[in-house]
Formats: sequence, structure tokens, C-alpha cells
Amino acid sequence: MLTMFRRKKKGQLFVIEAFIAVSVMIILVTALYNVQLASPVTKEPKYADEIYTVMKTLDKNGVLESYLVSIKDSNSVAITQYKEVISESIYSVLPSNGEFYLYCENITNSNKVVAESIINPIAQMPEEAVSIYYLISAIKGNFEPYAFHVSVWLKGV
Amino acid sequence: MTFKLRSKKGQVFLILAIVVLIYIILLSATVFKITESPYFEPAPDHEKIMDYIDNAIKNFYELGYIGLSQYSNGENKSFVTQLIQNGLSTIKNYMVSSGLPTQIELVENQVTIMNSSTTANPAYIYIMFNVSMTVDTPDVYYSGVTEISIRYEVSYSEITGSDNYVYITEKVHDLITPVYNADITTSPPTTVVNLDNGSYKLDLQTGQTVNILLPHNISIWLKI
Repeated sequence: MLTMFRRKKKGQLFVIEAFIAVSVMIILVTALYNVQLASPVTKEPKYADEIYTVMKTLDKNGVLESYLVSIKDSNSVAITQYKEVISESIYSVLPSNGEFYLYCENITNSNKVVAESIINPIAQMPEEAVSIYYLISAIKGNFEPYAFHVSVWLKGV
Repeated sequence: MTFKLRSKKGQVFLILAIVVLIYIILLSATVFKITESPYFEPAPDHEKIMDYIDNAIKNFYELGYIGLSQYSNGENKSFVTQLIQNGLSTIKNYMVSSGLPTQIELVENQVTIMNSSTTANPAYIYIMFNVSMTVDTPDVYYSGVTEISIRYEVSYSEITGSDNYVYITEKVHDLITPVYNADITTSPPTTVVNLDNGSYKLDLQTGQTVNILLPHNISIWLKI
């Protein structure tokens, strides 16, 4: 009779121990999850918005229009100058391993690429490249729409 | 003895039941938090689409400058209206071909464009029109009317003496900025000094014709 009592007590003790173990695990999981919830999620930068801002600033300062005017006038000195200005502006918002490729399309001529407008020609575009398009309409007060295409990627990623 | 044991068992059972209940509530709260999204990130295309819309609106303003340029160089109002409509149509096709279902319209097909006579002081040229744009994508819905209002004003000081001044301002909606990169020529010719703040020093005479070439190839003529 005493053995039965001891067995019962053992059984009860075992149940209580198991219960405490499970509850400790639940508390642990809840606490860990709450800590994870408290720290913010980091967003991976994509640079599309930064490049758009650069293009908008270049447009506001008349660089994009002047670049196209210099291409139309075949003014090679000015073309090189503007290519440099545009390149520097774009590189300034990219990290050190950032690379870009830019060209211009003539909207009124069935989107034909303006060959002289190409900056950093590349044989093959990497898959993860992000593309930004920027439309301008006015060249010296005439309606001549051109679309700038800028593709951006990170080297060695 | 049996009764005490039973009541003790009952008490233990009650306590354990309450504890289990608390843990079940905690667990379900945690599961609920897990299923609730902790961080709302805007859809990846959202920013990109807003950039397209911003770019389109910028081009509406460019059409305003184009209209002023054509009008100041001799074209009439209906030519300018047609040009702006064609321009808006091109912008719309560009948006659509970029994957954004877009409607762009010149509100009431109406463009207000006017310039003053050449003898007025101040002389002015201005354009005003409204563009309605609707972009309907799964991630973004945009519908708005953009008012384009651009006014260039040229005033000049008294013409006595040889130190006279011409002041040029651009007013976009209510924002007035000086125009410091205008090109001024006179007939008969005289030296023009650009003071880099929207004012230009020159010698004005009665009967002189002054041509002011503003950015975007917009011309204003003055007859002193």
C-alpha cells in the first residue's frame, strides 16, 4: 500500500516536472520572439529612387537638355564634358562597387537609341540590374521627347 | 484522511488548470503576433510608380515652356493647344508602354496663353492650363489635376541717363524667382551687364527695340 502511494507521488512529481519544463520552453519562445519584434527590419537599398533624384537634379540644372543639344550639334568637346558631369553625379549616389549604363531613346523616332548618348557601354547586362527611366520633352523650346534609360548594379555581388 | 487527500488533489488540479489556461492565452497571443505583419514595407513597385508620376508632372510643366516658346516665336493659340495635346498624348503612351495604365487629358481642351503688347511696362507672357492624370495599377492608384501656370514678367526702370535697368522674373504658380540667365540684345545695340540677380544694366533710349531671350527659347520684345 505504501509502494502504491509512492508510485502515485512519483507519477505526480513527473507530471509536474514535465509541466514546468514545457512552460519554461513556452516562456523562452515568447521572450525571444518579442525581442526579435522589437528590433527593426533592415531594408536592402535598391538605389532606384536615388538615381531618379539625380536625373531630376540634372534635368533641373539643364544638363540633360544641354547634353542632347551637344549631341545634335555634334560638339564632341561638350559631349565629353556632359558625359563626365552625368557620370560623376550618378557615381556619387552609388557605393564604391556600383556601376551604371546609360543611353537615350528618341521617342518620336520609334524609340530608336541615340548612339552618341551611350555612357559605359556594356556587352551583357547583369540580371540583378535595376532600371530607371527619365523622360524629358523640351529641347530649346521645341517638343522633342527623349527617354533616358539608366541601369544600375553592384559589381561582384 | 481520504477527504483531505481528495480536496488536496482538487486544489492541485485547480491550480494546474489555471496555470495551463494562462499559458494557453500566452501562446495564442504569441501566435497572433506572429501572424500579424510586424513591418509594413511599401510594395516594391510603389516608389518606382510614384517616380513615373512625378516625371510625368514635370513633363507637363515642360509642355508649358514649349507652349510659351512657340507662341512667343509667332505661333497662334490653337497651334499651341494642339501641340500640348500631342505632347500629353505622347507622355501617356510612354507611361502605358512602361506598364502603367494611364489616362492623361487636357482639362476642357483649354489653354490660356497671352502676352502683353511690346510697349507695356511691365511686359509679360503667360500660359495656364490644367492636366488631369489617372494611373490605375494594382499597387498604386493616382488621380489628380495638375495646374500649370507659368508667367514671365519684364519691367524696366526710367530711361533717363545711361544707367537703366531691366528686371526679369519668372512666376510659377505663386513662386516668383528672378531670371538670371536671360540673353538681352537691343537695336540699336548697347552693352548689357548681367547683374546675376534678375536685373540687367543697360542704356535704354526711346524708340529702342529690346529683345529678351529667356531660357527654353522664349522671346519677349520691348519697344521703349
